[in-house]
Amino acid sequence: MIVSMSIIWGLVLVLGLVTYQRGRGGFGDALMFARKQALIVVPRMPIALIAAGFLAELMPQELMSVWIGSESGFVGILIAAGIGALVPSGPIISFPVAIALMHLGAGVPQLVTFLTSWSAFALHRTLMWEAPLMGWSFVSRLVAVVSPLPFVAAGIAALVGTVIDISAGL
Amino acid sequence: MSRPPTIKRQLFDTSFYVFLVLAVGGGIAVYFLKGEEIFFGTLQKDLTLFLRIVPQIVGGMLVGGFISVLIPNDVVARWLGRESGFRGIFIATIAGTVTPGGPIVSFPIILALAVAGADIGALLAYLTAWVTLGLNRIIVWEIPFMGFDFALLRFVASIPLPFIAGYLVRRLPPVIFPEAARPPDEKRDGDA
Repeated sequence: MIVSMSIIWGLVLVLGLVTYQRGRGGFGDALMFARKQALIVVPRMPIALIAAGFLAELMPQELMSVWIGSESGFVGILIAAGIGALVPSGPIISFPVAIALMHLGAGVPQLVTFLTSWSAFALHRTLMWEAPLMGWSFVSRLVAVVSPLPFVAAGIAALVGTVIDISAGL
Repeated sequence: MSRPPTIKRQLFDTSFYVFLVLAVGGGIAVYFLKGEEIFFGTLQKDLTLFLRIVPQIVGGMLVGGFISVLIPNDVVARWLGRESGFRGIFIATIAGTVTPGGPIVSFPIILALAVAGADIGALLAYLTAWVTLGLNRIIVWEIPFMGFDFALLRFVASIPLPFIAGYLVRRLPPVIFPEAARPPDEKRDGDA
């Protein structure tokens, strides 16, 4: 928590100084960019977190930890990849879902799979950006080549996990 | 370029209302099925989490803002357009990793790369790197939500992914881009 806070605000300080030194109105532009994003995200975040929290509370916890827990192995990774591919939204919803899965006892490789699958497939991004801008021919190649990726990431995460013990959470 | 953001806005609003309904419905269900204590416990836990995450998210957005001012999009596209082979995929992976902001920033770059006739392997590597290795998302979202150790592990596990995507797509039949995403000389051929 303190480590990540220092990294982020350290970066803010350094990049802010560089931008300010360069002038050309860049500093104000950067603040406007951040303000616009924050106004969209910050008011919506507590609702997403609360919804994910309540839904996790309603899930059958023993069953979920059997399905996607650290002991669930490849089946758990398949399930996590499926859930990830089906989350049709940006990070504002997928990260609260990841936290809910974590509280339900999801294993670290399964969480890596979930996030990789969500970011690689991202149904909403395909419909809003990839299909209209780049065409369905591009989308079909994209889906074909990203399909193995969640499993590759899961495999590496599991391998690393046998050497170093890493846990998710703040 | 004005169309995608409006569509995005509408869809986002729909999903926002869906989550509002889920929050209220879930809350009512928890209150009656699990009792008052668990209801308030969950609410308090999630609001505490929110308060811990907000300062980091806001800091991350400032970082994204500064980077987008310091490295303009057309510089990235120009830098990437001419490379192919392993070098193309490698440079595309680094560019995707450091591209700040959401799809509003990255898709114009992807479109510009396609129009500039960039190699499809580099294009896919750029997109895959942006979604799986993107530092902006890691700083704004992943570290605040999942912690530094987990974010680092997922980052390391994702390093090969843009290379796999880039090499795989070169083995598939070539992509037929829509008119707007084709290089100008191909467009002329099509018109003739």
